[in-house]
This record gives sequence, C-alpha cells and structure tokens, in this order.
Amino acid sequence: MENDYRYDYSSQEDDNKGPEIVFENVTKEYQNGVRALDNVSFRVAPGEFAFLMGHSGSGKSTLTKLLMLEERATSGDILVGSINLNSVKSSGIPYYRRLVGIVFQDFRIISSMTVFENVAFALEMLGAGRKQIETQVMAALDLVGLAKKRNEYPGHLSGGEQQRVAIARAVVNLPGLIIADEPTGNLDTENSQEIMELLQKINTELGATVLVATHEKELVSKIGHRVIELSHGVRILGNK
Amino acid sequence: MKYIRIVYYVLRQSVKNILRNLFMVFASVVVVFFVLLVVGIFIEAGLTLGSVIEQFSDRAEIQINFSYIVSDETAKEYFDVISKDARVKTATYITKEENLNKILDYFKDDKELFENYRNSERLQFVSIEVQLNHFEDGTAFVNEIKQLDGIDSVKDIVETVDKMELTRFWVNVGTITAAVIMTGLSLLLIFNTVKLTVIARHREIEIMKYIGATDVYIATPFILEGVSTGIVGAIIAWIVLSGVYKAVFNFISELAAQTNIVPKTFAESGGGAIFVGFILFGIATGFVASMLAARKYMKV
Ligand SMILES: Nc1ncnc2c1ncn2[C@@H]1O[C@H](COP(=O)(O)OP(=O)(O)OP(=O)(O)O)[C@@H](O)[C@H]1O
Ligand SMILES: [Mg+2]
Repeated sequence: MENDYRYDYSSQEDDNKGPEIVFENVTKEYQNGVRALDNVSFRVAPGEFAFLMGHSGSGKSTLTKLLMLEERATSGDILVGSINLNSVKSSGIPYYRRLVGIVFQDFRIISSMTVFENVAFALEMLGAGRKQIETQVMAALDLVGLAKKRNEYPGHLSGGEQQRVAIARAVVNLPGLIIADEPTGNLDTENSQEIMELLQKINTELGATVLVATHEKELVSKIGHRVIELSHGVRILGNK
Repeated sequence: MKYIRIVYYVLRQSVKNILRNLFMVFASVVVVFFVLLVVGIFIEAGLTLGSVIEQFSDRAEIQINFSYIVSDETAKEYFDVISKDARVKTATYITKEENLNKILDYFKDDKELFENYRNSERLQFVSIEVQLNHFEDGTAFVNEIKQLDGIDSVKDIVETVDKMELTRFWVNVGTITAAVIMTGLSLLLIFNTVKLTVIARHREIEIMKYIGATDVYIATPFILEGVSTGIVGAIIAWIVLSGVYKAVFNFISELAAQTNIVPKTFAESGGGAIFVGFILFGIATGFVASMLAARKYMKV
C-alpha cells in the first residue's frame, strides 16, 4: 500500500496502533445558540475501543462531527495523534478524512453501485491501481464477511449486510481511527451484536482506535469497553 | 502513474454522468449549436459585407461626365482644379476617344449598330474619374461638382457604399446583441444540465466528501460534462455554418459575373478563425456554467 497520502501520526510510540484522541475543554455552540458540548475533556488511548453514550440530544453526534471536521469546535482543542484539528485548514479536510473511517446509522452506501464498487471508489480517488484496488477491497470484504456478495447491489442486501459494506469502505485504506455514530441504530438486536463484534475485530486486528456513539446500554455492557458518557453536553463518566 | 489513474477515474465518472443525463446534455448541445449558428451567420454576414465594401471602395468612386459641348481645354481646367482639391486622392482624365472606345467596347456584341454613332457628337465627351481620400467626404464633394457648369452627369457609388456601411453597422449591432443573448441562453442551459447531474448525485457527493475526496476530484467530472457539451455544440455549429456558407457562396458565384463582386470561400472568409472562436466559446461557456452549478449545488 502506498502511504504517501497518509497523514503521519508521528510522535506516537506505537506505529501499528491508531492515534490517541484528546478533547481538551471543548465547547460547541451552534449558530442558533444551542450549546451541544460544554467544556468537554477526555482522552482515548492509542488503539483503544471506547463507547460514547448519552441520552438523545446529549451531543454524541456533535462530538463525532467535530472529530471528522464536519463542524468546528467553538473553543478548546481536539487532538488526533499529533494533529490538532483546529490547525487543519478547510483545504486539508479531505486529506485528514482519509485517515479516519466513518460509519453512520443510515449506512450511506450508493445504491447504483455494487458492493465491490462501493468499497473501491474510496481507493480510486487516491489513484490506486486496479490490482491494488482488487486486493485491498477483497481484503476489506473478507474482513466483514461479504466477499461472496461482491457483485450484489445494496438493494439485495439486508440492513446488517449494508452496514458491513459501509464498514468495509471505512477500513479499506486502513485508517488509524474509526468513528461510528449509532452504527446499529437501524438494525435488530442480532445484527447489532454482529456489527459491534465486527468493530471490535477491526480494533484488535487492525489496531485502529475506535469510537462508537450509541445509546444501546445492553450491547455496551455485553462488550464491556470503556464508556464516555455525556449528559447535556457535559462529560459525566469515563476516566480521563 | 497515480495521477494518470486519478485522471482516468475522473474521466470515467464524467462519461457516466453524461450518459445518465443524456437528454439534458443533448438539449444543451442543441442550444449551444443554435446559438453559435446564429451568431456565426451574423459574423459571416458582417465579414462578407465588409469585403464587398472593400472591393467597392477600391474602385473609382466618382465618375464626372462632361457635357459634349465642353471643350477639351475647359475640361482640362476643371481637371487641374479637381486634382488639387485636398479631398481628392487620385483623379484620372479620360479623353473623348477613350470614352468612345469604352462605350463601343461595352456594346461590342452589337458593334455594327453602334459603328454608325462613331461620328455622333453626343458621344464625344470627356470624363474625370475621382477617388477620394476619405469616403465620408463623398456626398459633399459630389454635390459641389453638380453645381458646376457643363456637367452632364455625376455617377457615384457613394450612396451605395453608404447604405452598405449602414447595413454593416446594423449587422454588427445584431451580432453583438445575438452574442450576448445567446451566450446567456447557453450558460443557462448548461448550468441547469449540470445542476441536474449534481443534484442527482447529491448522495454520492456527500459520501465522497466523508471519505476524503477533494472538491476538485468531485467537481471535475461535472465541469468536464459542461465543457464537452460546449465543445460538441461548437463543432456541430461550425460544420453546419460551413455548409450554409458554401450554399450562399455558390449562389453568389452565379451572380458574380453581373455584380463584379469576387466572393470569398469559407476558409478565406475567416472559417478557421471562426472554428477556433467557436471551440473557445464552447469551452468557456461550458466551464463557467458548470463551475457555477457545481459550486452552488455541491455544498453538502
Ligand atoms: N446543526 C445544528 N444546529 C443547531 N443545533 C444543533 C445542530 N445539530 C445538533 N444540534 C443540537 O445540539 C444538541 C446535541 O445534538 P446531537 O445531535 O449532537 O445529539 P445526539 O446525542 O447525537 O442525539 P441523538 O441520540 O438523538 O442522536 C441538540 O440539542 C441538538 O438539537
Ligand atoms: Mg446523534
């Protein structure tokens, strides 16, 4: 894999692990005056798997949006590895996002493309060659257990399978950080469990730092990772 | 290598876009074609008229025919005065003999008929051909000459050329008006075509942004769609224009003997420059319209 387009998380002790995430007194106030996050501070260790919990409206999505630079913090610092997100210019956002795999509640895959194409186009824009694309996409599809369905269209897949396609796309260029916002929100219990297990597998096999926003307490307690809990925009639980 | 592949993926995407939005792309091509055809016809009319005017202006503009009763000596005096007039570029003295030969030459098919007139007094007159420095002085100059004694007639093409100049002025006004309106029309249609493509791919654009596609990577296929629409319209318009021109050319050629106008071929009449102009117009309108559409509707 060519890595010339990878941001480097230098200054990190372990190169095979994803970046550390640090929130320092982060406040996010929207244009309309709603304060979605109020002076939030926490840290996720390199290669850690952490849950982000809280009732509806507590600021989970806002936090993930800040992490993918869809929104900017009103004040405070967010560090991803050695990158301070405040210092990433607008023109640098696409390059930053290539280091981050993003998974949404509503899958966001393209219905007119096959499973393979949905995953492949994340590599095409990087200028990857045909062979490299084939190898990496199949590796990602293997990881999520969809290699056999490579030529199917999303319309023929179950919700759980569609979310796997989205996860394959998120991990295909081996990002150090995976952010998932309610990845199981549209799935039944069984599929939810499988998706969580898959994210865990990505955490252990690829060494990626994984942050999953969810409000499904049962699932969380079953898997048993550290929880960062938000309430009205304030962090109330989870060690720093 | 990496960049060549990116270019390939972008090209593939723009082909896909065009195929998916074929009807609107086709409509835009047709509009660009019509726009350029209309503007092209105006331009060609202006250029052709210009070259006709040039040919006319190159010839003797004013012919002063003296009455047959005016003697050679008197005519010479007039000639001296006219030659010295500041407005006059050249003046040519035509003797009675030369005039007569000219007339007989003109009617050479009926030579015998006119042979009898050789001795007719009335055909023995002197003429002066005058070319002016500035065409605009023509009307005033002709009026002054007409006041003189012993002038039989003054033939001038000043009025004709004046009319042609006026026509050319309005053709030019038409060209500019057509160009402005039609450019607006092309921009509007290409803009809307690309807008539809962008909106249709709204979801894909959003996803591409999340996975780190740059704006340039996302926008380039849309811009290529607009630019190729412009280019295709331009090429078709040029082909049709050259066909129209050839038809008009043949028509004028048949009239040429009578009119003494030498028609120019399409190539001589700026066909090559028009081709370049059309292509540039196609590229520019396509680029501007699709750029604006992409900027406006790509924001996710
Ligand atoms: N774009 C926005 N503009 C203004 N206010 C917003 C915007 N997005 C979110 N908010 C507000 O910010 C607060 C936090 O919203 P957020 O979506 O982050 O919560 P959440 O924890 O993800 O909730 P849920 O569990 O329902 O997804 C809410 O009060 C919400 O109304
Ligand atoms: Mg949310």
